[in-house]
Amino acid sequence: MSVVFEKHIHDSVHGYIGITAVEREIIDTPVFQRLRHIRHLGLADFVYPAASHTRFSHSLGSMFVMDRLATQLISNGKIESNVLQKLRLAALLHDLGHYPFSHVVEGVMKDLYGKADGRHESLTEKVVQKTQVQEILRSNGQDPDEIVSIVRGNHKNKLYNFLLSSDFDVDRIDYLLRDALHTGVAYGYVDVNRLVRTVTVDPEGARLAVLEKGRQAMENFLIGRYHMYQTVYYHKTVAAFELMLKTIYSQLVSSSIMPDLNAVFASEDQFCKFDDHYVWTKMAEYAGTNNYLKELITMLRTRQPIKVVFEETSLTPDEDTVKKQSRLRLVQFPLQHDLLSKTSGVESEWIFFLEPPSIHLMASQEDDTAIMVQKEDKCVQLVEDNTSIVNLLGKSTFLSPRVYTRNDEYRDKVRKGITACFGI
Amino acid sequence: MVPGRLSKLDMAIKEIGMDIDLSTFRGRLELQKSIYLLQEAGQDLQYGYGWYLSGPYSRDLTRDLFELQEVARVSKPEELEPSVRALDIGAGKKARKLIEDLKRLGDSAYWLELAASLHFLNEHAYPRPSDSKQVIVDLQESKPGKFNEEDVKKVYELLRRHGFIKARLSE
Repeated sequence: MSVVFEKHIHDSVHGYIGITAVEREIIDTPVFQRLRHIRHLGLADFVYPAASHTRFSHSLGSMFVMDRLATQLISNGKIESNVLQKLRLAALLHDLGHYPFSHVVEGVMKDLYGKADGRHESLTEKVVQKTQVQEILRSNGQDPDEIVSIVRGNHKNKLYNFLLSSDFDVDRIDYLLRDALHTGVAYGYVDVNRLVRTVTVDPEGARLAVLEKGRQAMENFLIGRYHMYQTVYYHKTVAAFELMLKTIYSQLVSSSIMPDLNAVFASEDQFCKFDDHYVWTKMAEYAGTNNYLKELITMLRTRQPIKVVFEETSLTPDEDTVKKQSRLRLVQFPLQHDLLSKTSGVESEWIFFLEPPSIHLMASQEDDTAIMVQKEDKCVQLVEDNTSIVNLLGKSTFLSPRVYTRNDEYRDKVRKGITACFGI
Repeated sequence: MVPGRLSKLDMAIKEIGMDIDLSTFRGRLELQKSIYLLQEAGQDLQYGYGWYLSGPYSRDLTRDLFELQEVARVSKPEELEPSVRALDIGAGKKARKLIEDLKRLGDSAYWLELAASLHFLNEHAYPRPSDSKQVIVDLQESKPGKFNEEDVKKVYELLRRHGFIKARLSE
């Protein structure tokens, strides 16, 4: 059963995206329109000015990529044709519960309330269940619980979960293409046509794989992702602004200026207003007595980033680098943080430690969600394929622990303090 | 700022008598399934699990386990974050007893995968099984040839006896 398009929307990445009747109804709801006001890359536009694309276009794009992969799998007899609409809907709705500034505020919520409750997929479930989206799905013959189960990765069909959340999923394919286009950083361009044409399923029916002839496209996808993480997602100035916003947001939650987890979805109307503009407005209106918070807000609003004091990067580190990184990581722990503050004469709150998540050319740590390649007679993890460049580089991990502080004046003090306290 | 969750995870792993062995697939699988069972026993570690190749699997947990391994190079996590001691002792005991019983059955990776998978299908997967017979069928369909019916029934009973599943095995 193929889907019937009621209209088409032109997208900057994929061109015309066909929309079915149920999808149009969902897109027209206030909770979906809210995604127009949540930037896909948080504060990356402070560094890449054109990176102002939103979760709205990414959601449409993810649905489009899902359609392409699923259609290929249907034509190969790997999945039934009657699941196409529900897979498209799961992709369309997967970010419905995203917080303002995307992963920046989500990171705060995870820190405050835990990784499971704080993740946006949990909020997506609530939004689907408590808004007209639920009724729209039902009236169009879809089970809202089933759509949510795919978003949350709980569906009994493992392949559906993999399609939406794995090392090779529709979310990643779209965001790499979209972020590359809007930042102008070319590394993220992915040969999506080749990937789609060569996609298949492992013998257990649980994971996507590519045929041997699609291996180079897959390697390119992984290398592109690796470079996008280094140049965009964890760019030192983007990360600086995001660290500032996280600090501010966390304090605004503590002061009950921003909603806590229970209050985020107090009502549909209130939730629809909970977007990037809402947070900017709350920051601009802050009139509390916390001078530190006031200054951070001013710095953020006027684009004055905190400064990197020390960064120790590595891909295949020697012993000396490992030692330096280990020493630098001590800054994140309270006793050592206080010691550094006293030694450098810089207030504790102006010393920030950040270690971006480790970046793998290939997520070799993952097992169940790893990328597979179909060889002649067997399916192997790409990282274990000795004919792949990923086999050589895939087990390396890019690490970059960093310390930031208020400004150039403080940077010299903290730098000397790090040497005195940690011998680096 | 402080990754208190890592200290908590470190203590939780010790609580259920496991070691952090990430060098092998088997070691990683045993940790994934044991932490799943610990959470289901009532210890809130906040790892969201999805249904993947070898049953319940948490990508966040994978990342934290490798991060914990890195942190452990510097110092013992509990020394770095001594304030985090909010472990649920009862949950730890409950999970530990089950895990010990599973290990006594033989190949621990096999039995842990079976127990965690059976529990996940029974409690969290979509669609939920209509009864215990159905969950056994679901499990065998999800992993054809891997788990025989006798083993599945044995683990179902074990899960029930330890309070992880309420309903009795239907005839």
